[in-house]
Amino acid sequence: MPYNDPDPTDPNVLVGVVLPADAEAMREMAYVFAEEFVRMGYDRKFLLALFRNPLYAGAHGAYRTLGEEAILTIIDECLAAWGGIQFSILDFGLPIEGGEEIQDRKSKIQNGGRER
Amino acid sequence: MAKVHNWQIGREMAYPYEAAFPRRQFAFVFNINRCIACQSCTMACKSTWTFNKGQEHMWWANVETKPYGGYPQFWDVKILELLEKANSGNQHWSGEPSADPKKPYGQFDGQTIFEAQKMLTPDSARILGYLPTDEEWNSPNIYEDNPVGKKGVRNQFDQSGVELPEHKTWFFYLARICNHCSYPACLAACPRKAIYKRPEDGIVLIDQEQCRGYRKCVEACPYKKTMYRGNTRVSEKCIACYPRIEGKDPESGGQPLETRCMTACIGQIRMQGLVKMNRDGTWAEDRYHPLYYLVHVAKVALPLYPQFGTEPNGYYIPPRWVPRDYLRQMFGPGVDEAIERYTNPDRELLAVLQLFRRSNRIIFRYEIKEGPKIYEAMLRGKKITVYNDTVIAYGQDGKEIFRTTVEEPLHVRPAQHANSI
Repeated sequence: MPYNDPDPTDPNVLVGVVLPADAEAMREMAYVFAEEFVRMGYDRKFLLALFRNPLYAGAHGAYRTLGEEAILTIIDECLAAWGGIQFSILDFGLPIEGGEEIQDRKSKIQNGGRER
Repeated sequence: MAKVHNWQIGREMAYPYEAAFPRRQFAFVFNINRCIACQSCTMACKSTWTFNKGQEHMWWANVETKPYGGYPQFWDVKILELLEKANSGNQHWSGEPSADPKKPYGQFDGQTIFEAQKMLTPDSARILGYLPTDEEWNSPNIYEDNPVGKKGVRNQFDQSGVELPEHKTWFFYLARICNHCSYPACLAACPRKAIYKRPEDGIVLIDQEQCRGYRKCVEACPYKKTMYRGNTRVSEKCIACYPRIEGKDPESGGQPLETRCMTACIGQIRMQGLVKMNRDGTWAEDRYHPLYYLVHVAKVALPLYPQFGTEPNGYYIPPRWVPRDYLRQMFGPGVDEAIERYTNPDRELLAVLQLFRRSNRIIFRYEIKEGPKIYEAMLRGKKITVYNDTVIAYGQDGKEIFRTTVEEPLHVRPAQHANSI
């Protein structure tokens, strides 16, 4: 641990300092989050829940700044672009327990990420 | 001082020694967009090279959270501040990024750390720099991501959680090692000439027998990647895992291996190699070398603080979500073009990005075999087309190391082996 607590009058100490960023930076971040999670197979409902969740601080920050409508537009745009990706699931000759669940998820993904 | 050409700042600059370039240069590309700050690189390096008594504060490889963090604390803020003081209001770039390999990012019209040293007293000092305090070295990552609790209350987290620090708007992780610069400030500053750059691979090393621990290198390195060891009273730095680069590691089979920090990278952000050099210090054209492609053809990877003037050989694909002003200060004027290309990669770039971390062997050449179109969509008004091309990596001996495809398989563990190792 450092010897002293940070000195708030030291201009080099950036603890708790809000750095300038406009709504455009927020939008870029929101797109990055949405694209990443859509590619991992998240659907509209899960993705919106993520943005609404204050524990996902970055995503939630974007949600607060841009509003739910803008976030939904971003989610839908990303789903339209990447939500159609199909995962090829290969097994290795072993019976897959809970296979039904995987099949269900797979069909959701094939369905453009939307609930059936 | 001699005059040397620094292609990263697009002009001649002052340097204490005449230019001398290696035949090949140790270089690397880090894709910041992928870094999750897991610190696997940090620990791989620590457990290999700096685990001894007296090295406790040494992290040759580290990952810091920008813009809040730094190891040592405030390293870049402090050197930028010194440069600004030396040449107030004039630290600017001019011109535009271009195809000219002698000035691909335009021209930096401000002063480098070698040129700004005129402000120093005594004037015998060669390079503008500063010596970090012990406190700044001691706590890498302090106050970056960790909950710190209430102000003034030590060793106790906040009970309600409401005061955990929140990175407002943006941040990113910056992984760093020694840049094995083409014009090393550490080498230039050493009064005993104990630091040298190897002609075969450009790795910068400190001769432990020659060093007397004056710490001029620690003061001069703008990236703060030389470190003083109290119990041996000499300075130490990243050695680029040179036994691996030389192919002398027992597992290498005589072929060059990437460094420990690179091979430990689970986020697959890192690629390291050896690039061929021209006699004038620019990179020799090597169209199908992955690093040459990323830096000079696709131009998605940019040097870290090129304005310092040391011509660092570490290149970064800038994070796409970070405000551009900050990124331009950190990576120079090539940022906008780099992010545009990375966000909308063409067919070749998408294939080359698959080469990251598929093998521990150094890649000297790649080849792409075209595959079928597998995906097409529109995002933000731009068309996305993905081809399942196969990219093949070749080693120093010209033999294939591996081949991989753009479409990545997703492996799902069977439920009965969900926790098996």
